[in-house]
Amino acid sequence: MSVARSMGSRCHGRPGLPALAALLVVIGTAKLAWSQAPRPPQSEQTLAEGRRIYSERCVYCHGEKGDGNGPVADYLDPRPRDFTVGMFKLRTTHSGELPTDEDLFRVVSRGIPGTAMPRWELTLSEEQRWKVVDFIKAFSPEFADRAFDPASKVVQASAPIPPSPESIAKGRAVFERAKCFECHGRDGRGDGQKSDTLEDGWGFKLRVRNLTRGWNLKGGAEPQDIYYRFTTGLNGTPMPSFRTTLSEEERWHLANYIASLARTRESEQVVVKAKRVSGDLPQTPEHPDWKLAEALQVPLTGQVLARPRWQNISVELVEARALYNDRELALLLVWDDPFADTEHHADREVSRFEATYVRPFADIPRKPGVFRDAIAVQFPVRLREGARKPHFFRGDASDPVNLWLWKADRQRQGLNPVEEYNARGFRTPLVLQPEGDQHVHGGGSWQAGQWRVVVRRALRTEDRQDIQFEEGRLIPIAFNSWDGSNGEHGLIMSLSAWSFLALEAPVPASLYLYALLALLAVGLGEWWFVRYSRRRSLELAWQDDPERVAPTGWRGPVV
Amino acid sequence: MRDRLQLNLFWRAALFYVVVFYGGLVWLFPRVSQWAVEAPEPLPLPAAALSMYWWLLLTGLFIYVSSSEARRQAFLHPLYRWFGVRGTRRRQALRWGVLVALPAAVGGMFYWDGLPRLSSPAGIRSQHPTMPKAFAKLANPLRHLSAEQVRAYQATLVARGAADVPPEAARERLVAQLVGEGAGLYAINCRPCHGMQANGAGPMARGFRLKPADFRDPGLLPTVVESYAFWRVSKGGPGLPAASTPWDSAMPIWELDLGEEERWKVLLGEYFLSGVGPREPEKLP
Ligand code: HEC
Ligand code: HEC
Ligand code: HEC
Repeated sequence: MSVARSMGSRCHGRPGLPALAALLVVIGTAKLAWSQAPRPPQSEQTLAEGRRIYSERCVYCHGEKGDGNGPVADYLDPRPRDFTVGMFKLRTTHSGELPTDEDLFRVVSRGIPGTAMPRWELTLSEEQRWKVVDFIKAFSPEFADRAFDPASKVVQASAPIPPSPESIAKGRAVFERAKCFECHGRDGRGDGQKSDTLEDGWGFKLRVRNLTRGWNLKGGAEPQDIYYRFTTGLNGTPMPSFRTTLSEEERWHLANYIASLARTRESEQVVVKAKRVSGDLPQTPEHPDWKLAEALQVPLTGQVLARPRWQNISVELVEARALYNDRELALLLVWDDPFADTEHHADREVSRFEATYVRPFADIPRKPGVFRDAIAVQFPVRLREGARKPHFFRGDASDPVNLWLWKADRQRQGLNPVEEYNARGFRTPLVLQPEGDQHVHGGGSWQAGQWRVVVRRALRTEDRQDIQFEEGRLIPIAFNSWDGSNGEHGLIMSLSAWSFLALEAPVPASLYLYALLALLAVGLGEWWFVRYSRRRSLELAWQDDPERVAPTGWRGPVV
Repeated sequence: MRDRLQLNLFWRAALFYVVVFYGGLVWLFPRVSQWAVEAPEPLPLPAAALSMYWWLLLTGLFIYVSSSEARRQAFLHPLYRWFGVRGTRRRQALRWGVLVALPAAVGGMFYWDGLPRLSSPAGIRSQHPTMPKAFAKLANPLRHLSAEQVRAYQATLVARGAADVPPEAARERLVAQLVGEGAGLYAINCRPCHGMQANGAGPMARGFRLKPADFRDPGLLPTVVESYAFWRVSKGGPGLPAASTPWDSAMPIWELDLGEEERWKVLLGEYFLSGVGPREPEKLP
C-alpha cells in the first residue's frame, strides 16, 4: 500500500489568494476553532519559549531532533510523530498537504485519544500551546516554504447535514459502496480483510481503528470531525481521502453514519446483576434469554503493574451479563477483537524482557497465527466480610484467586475451552487445577470483530480452591483478556480492577406479611380516629350552636 | 382575603416540617456543603444524621403543639372537623383518598425498606497512612549534591571538551540534567498511569477503579515529605496497610524494577512535571 505524500499535488499559489482562502476557512470551519484568544505574535522570544516548553514537555516522545525518537518512543504504538517530514494525520487540508496552524493547535490542545499523545489544554495555556506549535513547525523546512502554504489547500466544507435516521441509513449505503469495510470491517470494528496487512509511512505495522469506540476516535467523534478524517485522509497512513470520489452530500451522510456507530463507555456502575431464571440456563451466546440480563461494561486497561508491562492493548471493554438458576451460574462475555486467533504456539511465547515495558515493534510477534485469543474471569477463592479482598492483579500469597480461563485454541480443537486455575499473586505462575476439579464449561463464537463467550459452573462445588456463590452478596469479579494477534500472552494482556457480581436474592415471604401488618395497623388507627373525630366534631359544633346539632339526635357531651 | 390566607396550626406545623426537613436538610444542606467544599456533586447528610434530625424535628413539633391547651385545640380541632364532619361529596372523596393512601404508603415503605439490598461496595480509605520507620529518616541524595559530586561532574564536562565551568554553574547544570533524566524515567515508567501532565490521567488510568494519584492535587503530594513518596514508589500498592485497601491499588512495586538512585531520580522528575514540591520535614528542636 502506497502511503507516500503526493508532492506533485502542491502548486504555487499567488500571494493574496491564500489570505482570502484563509478568511473563507475561518468562516467555514468556525465550529472547529479550538482557540479562544487571538494568536500572539511570533518573535525570537516566543520561539525560544516554545523551545523550552518542547524540551520540558514533548521531548520524551518526539525527541530532541523532533524525529519522533524520544526515549519513550520504542514503547508506543503508534509511535510519536516525526515532525521532520511534515506528514500529519489530523488536518483540514487536502490529502498530502501540510496542516494549518489551527489544525496543529487543535491536535496539541485536545491530544489524540487512544494514543500516548496527551491533551495539553489541561495544563498548557493557549499562549503556551501557540508557542510550542510555532516551535515544532521549525523542525520541518516545508512549513517555511511559501509553495507549500496549506492555507489555500483547506477543504471547503458545506453546512453539515443534521444527523437523522434517513441520513444515517444513506451513510451506511455509502460506507458499503465506498468499500470502507475492506479495512474497517462490516460493523466498523476494524476487522476488514485488508486490516492485518497495513503499514504506516514509516514502515510500522498499523492497526485499523475500531470506529465503534467513540472515546478513541483520534480526531474526535462529532460528525464534523469525522467528515474531515475521510475527506482529507490521514497522511502517512493507508487511510485514503474520499474528497474526490464521494460527493459533499454523501460525505455528510457517511459522517453521520460513522458518528452513530460510536459507543460511549462512561459508566458509574460496578455490579453485574445476575438474574434468577426458573428453567435451564442458556448454553450459547446467541440464546434469546440473555436479553433478560442487564449488561455491565467493565473497562480494561494494560497490564502495567509488573514486568512485562504492556500498554498497547487491544481489548478495552468487556460487556458482562449473568443469569443463574437453583443449580448453576452462567456468564456471557462480549468484547471486540478484530481477528479470531484460534492457534497457539507455546514455543513462541517470550519470557525475557530487557526493559520495564514491552516494546511493541521489537519484543513480541504481533500478527495472526501465533498466539490465541483468551479471556479469564477472576474471583477470590474466599469471600470475606468487609472490604478486604485479594489484590485485583492475580491475588496475593495469603489470599488466592480462582480463574476461569477460556481459550480460543481449545475451543477450535473441540476440547472443553474453559480451564480452572488458581493464582497467588503475579510473581508465581497460574496453577491449573487437577482434572477432577475442572467444573467450568462454556463456549464462544466470533463474528464481525466480536467474541461472545459463555462460561458456566455449578453454584457450589466440593473444591476448596473454588469460589462458592451465595445469593445477595457482593462477590468481587475481575477480567483478564488476551488478543493473540496483538502479541498478547502470559502477563502481556489487558486486565480490569475488581467489579462485583451479585446474585439477586429472592424477596423473603415474611416481608409481604410485615408490610400487610403495617398496613392493617395504620388502617385500624384511622378507623378509630375517624370515629373519635365524629364525636368530637359534633361536640365542637354543639359548643358553637346546640340547635344545629339537635337534628342528629346527639344529646351533648356527657357531663 | 386575609382570613383565607391564615393557615391553621395543623397546616402551619405541616408546612414547617416540609420546609425544614425536605427544603433545608434534604435539598439545601447538600448543595450548600457542595458549594462550601467545592465538591463535584451535592453532599447529602448521612442517613443516620438525617433520621436523628427527623426525630428531633417531630419531637420539637410535638412539644410545641402539646405545650398549651389552646395550641392543642388549634392543632386537633381542624383535624376532628375534617375527618368527623361528613361535608360535601368532594370532601368525602378526598377523605377516602387520604384514608386509603396513608396505610398503603406505610405498607409500601415497610416493603421497600425490607427488600434485600446489597451494601454499597465503596468504603472509607486512608490515602496517607503512616510510613514505615525505616523510610521516615531517608532524604533524597540527589537534592543535596556534595561539592565532591559537583567536582566530578565538572571533570566530566571538561573531559567532554567543555571550557572550564565554574562550580555554581556546574551545579546548576548537573541539577538540570538529573531532573531531565528523572522526567525521562517518569515518562517511560509512570506516565501510562499518572499521565505526562502528572494529573493522574495517563492513557492506562481509565481501567482502574482506584485512580492513579493526581500529583497536581494540592491536597496530595505537597502534603507528604519526599521520603513518604519514596516509600510509596518502592513498595507500591501492596505495601500499604489494610486501611488503605492495598488490594485495589494498581501502584507497582518499583523496587523490583528500578534501582534506589533511579527511584530518587524519578521523584525529581515527578515534582518537576507536576510543578509542586514535597512538604519540608519538620525540624525537631
Ligand atoms: C507521551 C508521549 C508524547 C508526548 C509527551 C507528546 N506527544 Fe505528541 N504525539 C505522541 C504520539 C504517540 C503521537 C502520534 C499519534 C498517532 O499517530 O496517532 C503524537 C502526535 C503529535 C502530533 C501530530 C498530530 C497529527 O495530526 O499528526 C503533534 C502535532 C504533536 N504530537 C505535538 C506534541 C506537542 C506539541 C507535545 C508537547 C507539548 C507533544 N506532542 C507531546 C506522543 C506524545
Ligand atoms: C485501505 C484501508 C482503509 C480504507 C479503505 C478506509 N480506511 Fe479509514 N482508516 C484506515 C486506517 C488504517 C485508519 C487509522 C489510521 C491511524 O489510526 O493512524 C483509518 C482511520 C479512519 C478514521 C479516523 C478515525 C479516528 O481515529 O479519528 C475514519 C473516520 C475512517 N477511517 C473512516 C473511513 C471511511 C468512512 C472509509 C470509507 C469511505 C474508510 N475509512 C476507508 C484505513 C482505511
Ligand atoms: C499501574 C499504574 C501506576 C503506575 C505505572 C505508577 N503508579 Fe503511582 N499510583 C498508582 C495508583 C493507582 C495510585 C493511588 C493508589 C495508591 O495510593 O496506592 C498511585 C499512587 C502513587 C503515589 C502516592 C501518592 C499519594 O499522595 O498518596 C506516588 C508517590 C506514586 N504513585 C508515584 C509513582 C511513580 C514515581 C511512578 C513511576 C515510577 C508510578 N507511581 C507509577 C498507579 C500507578
